[in-house]
Amino acid sequence: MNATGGSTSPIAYPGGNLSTDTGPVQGITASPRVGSGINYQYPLNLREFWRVGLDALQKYAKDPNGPYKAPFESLSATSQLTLLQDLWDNKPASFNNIRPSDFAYELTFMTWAGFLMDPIYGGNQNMVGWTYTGFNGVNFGNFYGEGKDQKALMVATTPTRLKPASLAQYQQQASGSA
Amino acid sequence: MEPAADVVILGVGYMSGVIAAELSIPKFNGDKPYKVVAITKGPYWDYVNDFSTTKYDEWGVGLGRKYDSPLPLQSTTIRNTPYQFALPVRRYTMPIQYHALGHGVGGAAQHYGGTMGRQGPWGYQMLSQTNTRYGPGAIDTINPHNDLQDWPLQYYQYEPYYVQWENAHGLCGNYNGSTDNPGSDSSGYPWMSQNYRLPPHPLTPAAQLFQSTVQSAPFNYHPFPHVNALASQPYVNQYGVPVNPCVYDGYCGGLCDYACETGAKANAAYRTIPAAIKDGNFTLVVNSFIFRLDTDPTSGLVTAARYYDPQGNVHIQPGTVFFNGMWGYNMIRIMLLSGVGAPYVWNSDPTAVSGTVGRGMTNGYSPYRGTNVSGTLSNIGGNAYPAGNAGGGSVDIYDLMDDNFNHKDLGFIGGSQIGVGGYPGGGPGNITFAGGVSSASMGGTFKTSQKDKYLQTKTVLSSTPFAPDLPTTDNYVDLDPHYTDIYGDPLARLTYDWTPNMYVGATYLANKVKDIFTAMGASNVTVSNTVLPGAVHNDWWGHHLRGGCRIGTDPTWSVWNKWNQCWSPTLKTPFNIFGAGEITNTSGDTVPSGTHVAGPQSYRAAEGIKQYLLQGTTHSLLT
Amino acid sequence: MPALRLSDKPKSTLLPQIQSRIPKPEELVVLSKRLLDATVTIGEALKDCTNKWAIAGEVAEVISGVNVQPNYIAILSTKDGCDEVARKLAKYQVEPPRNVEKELDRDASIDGNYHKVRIRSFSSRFDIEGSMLVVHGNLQIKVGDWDWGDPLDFEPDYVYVLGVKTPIIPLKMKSELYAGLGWTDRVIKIHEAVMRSRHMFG
Repeated sequence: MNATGGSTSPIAYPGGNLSTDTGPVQGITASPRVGSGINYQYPLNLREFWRVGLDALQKYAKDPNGPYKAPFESLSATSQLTLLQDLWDNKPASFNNIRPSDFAYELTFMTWAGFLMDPIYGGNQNMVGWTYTGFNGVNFGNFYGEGKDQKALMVATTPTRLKPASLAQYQQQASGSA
Repeated sequence: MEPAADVVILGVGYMSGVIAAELSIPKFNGDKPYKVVAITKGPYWDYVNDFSTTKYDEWGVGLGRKYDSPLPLQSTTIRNTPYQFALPVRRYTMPIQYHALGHGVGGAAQHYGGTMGRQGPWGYQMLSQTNTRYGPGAIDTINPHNDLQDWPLQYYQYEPYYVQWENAHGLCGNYNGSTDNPGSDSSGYPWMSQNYRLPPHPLTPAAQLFQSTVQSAPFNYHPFPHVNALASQPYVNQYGVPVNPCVYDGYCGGLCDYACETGAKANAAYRTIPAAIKDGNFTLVVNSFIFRLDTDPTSGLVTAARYYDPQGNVHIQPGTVFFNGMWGYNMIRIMLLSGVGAPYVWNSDPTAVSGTVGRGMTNGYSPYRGTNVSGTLSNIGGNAYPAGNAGGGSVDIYDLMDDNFNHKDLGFIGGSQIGVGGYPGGGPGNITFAGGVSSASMGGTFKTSQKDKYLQTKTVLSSTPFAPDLPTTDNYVDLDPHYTDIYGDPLARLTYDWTPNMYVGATYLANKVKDIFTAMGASNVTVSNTVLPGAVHNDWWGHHLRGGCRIGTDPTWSVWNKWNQCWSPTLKTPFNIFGAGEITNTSGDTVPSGTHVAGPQSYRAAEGIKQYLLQGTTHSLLT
Repeated sequence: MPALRLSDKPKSTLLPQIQSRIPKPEELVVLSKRLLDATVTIGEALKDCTNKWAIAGEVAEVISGVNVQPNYIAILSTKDGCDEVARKLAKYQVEPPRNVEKELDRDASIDGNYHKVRIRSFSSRFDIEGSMLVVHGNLQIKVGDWDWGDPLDFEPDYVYVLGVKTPIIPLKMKSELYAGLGWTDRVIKIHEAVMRSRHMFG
């Protein structure tokens, strides 16, 4: 154990066997659900993980011995989905030493995050994602003068479509009225 | 060396806030000039400057966890059984990271969902009641390696302390029983000597339908509005602190994430600490990481707390009495690191285990992949609009909980609170499906399913019942031999898996809930995820853990006595340290809110500390 | 699968600290125990009043989050209300209800000029466990040489003081009164409290 907190012995990804000073021990039996807390054990930060993953994905797509034999972006939508499903199913025989399904999780999760998080982070441009799902962002019923009240909305039995507002808009309006 | 204090408080969350107000303010401590110092590793949060324009941020708050304890500072390792290698949590992922939550003044309660609800009398005597009613062998069959114990006091003895807790924080609810007749209750609901201080939040149509359905035949249950700590009206507590009410804009803390921009969500920062600062002989130390407690080698008493300030300098804070109000594993970890109390030592033979600190860890919530009941109502419309808050709108019953029905031959004890109709506004929920992101989350079909997701016209009912998780000798906390925090000290290691009582109870209760949903007129009522014990393992880190540092009558298995004072079986073990929190709860909790069950203990500890200081002797174990 | 080699990155013990400021005692709004206990006593004693009444003055402001320091408790009501309160709080009475007129310590400041402020009401006084309570029935205000204003009328807001539902003079009304008197510092304090009680607007 070193002062920076990392283990000095290299460890295998959970699920595999690993060795410690006292002999081999079994990985934990928790489900390989990457969303859970202990399943990211790579000694890579997320930026590195993406680069490694994207490189592996492209190698897999272009593999002349594989089913796709072409760059990912040139494949049809159906083939792209099939390829991504292969990642979820851990089909690629090699994937730059990371689990394909782990990368598939990150890819899927971040695509949705890019579509649905506040535009202040660079995605969901002009709140297109929120308009699609009917989400309000920070419009609580009166941002554009609609005159609706949250206390009524929270017990309503019919939904209300509101034009969404973003955090940047909210902060601008707040600093204007403070 | 800092100037010595009478009381040194570790961590400044819910429980610590109570100690701060009760011990530092002369009008509450018997007119004493006690000097009280409280230390927290996080900041002081101001709800206007820190939340009001920046909290509406699912990425930063819900996923980046910007209000939580930073993982690079300290993490935790987890494993299911003692035979495995525990691995550290290296990043925040969905759905909730409970044991990172507490950070700064107000702690985890700054951004939790506000759920409250008293534990009834049975919860305090789970073991003896089960032995009496179902025979002494029953519990061992239901819970292998059983470590269930009774609490050191009964419910009615905690009752006055519940009142103080509820007064201090302004809880909302409505008790329908008679406050005059102790022992009477509205069936399953524990007797209360006074009603909740604030009225409930407005009920949703679904909640009202649930209420009228379960009140009638064939159920004849006793529904009540969900109890919570989100102020429904302007309020003033016994310390004179005014409280703003909820403004219902959603972004509340459905997944223990969003802080409250009006201070309506009760926590120490906006209920007890302001009074301590204003009226008490009180010093607050923030951004300071407690890493050790010093003890006297002869007497065994705790003499000081050591902490790192933001520059990394070491400070030593001496004190007469200490209160351990640290969140989650940290309460246990600081004692293990400092040699305070007897560390739990696991053994595969349950009769050969020893020690108490870290022993008896349980979980207070349904397993993530728990048995779920769902159905769709078509008779009252729908609304998924994210307004409201995380704790209001719904109605609960306790009738399917505790020993409120005959458990003969059912194979489990207890049950769970069943509730329907919370506001959709607990949290935005745009990306919360990330906890379940799978290959099904790709492609055109899935994308179509997300269209107008927030504009649903039907109400979907969902419930995940469970029975209490019971303490065993195999679920515990100790220090990890491989991984450390940023300062080089071992992380807390959690060894934990679900106990069978939870799942067996879930299966039984799911059918009861199915009957309720059907009677409400729901279609497509489905029970899914029926899980056999051992088939699914805990893969969350932390979840809603309780116990692990329990109060009890017997120092062989408990850390604290009935005053929440550390035991001293010999003169070498400190008893000038008290502690309270969900981690000190004795049994597997019966109610979702371990906080409400821990709250009275903070008032017990406050009273105990006052007695200890008055007695003025260095060797006084309160009786 | 082959094991991965851990990268050896330097780590700092200094994490970015969240900027944080502990509030000073004078910035915090807390009602003294003495006045709080008396307010609860009053609220319980008067809960069945048939006449309209409300906590007024600085206590009403503090329990709404306004940063002021009250010394005593005031109640606004009608003349009949004043009588009813006197009956219900009889054991605490110090001065029975009678017409009182007096000049306030603080002048009104209007258009750069100072004007004396007088109030008159049907008034009674009580001592509630060491806290003074003044009840005003049909309170009227006179600024300088202007006419006496109408008796103050109001629809109360409510604060649950330790669970006792207590009517108070709405902050909005007080703010308007203070604005009329030119006491802008008091208007600002109320505004600050109102801003703290909700998200920034709307």
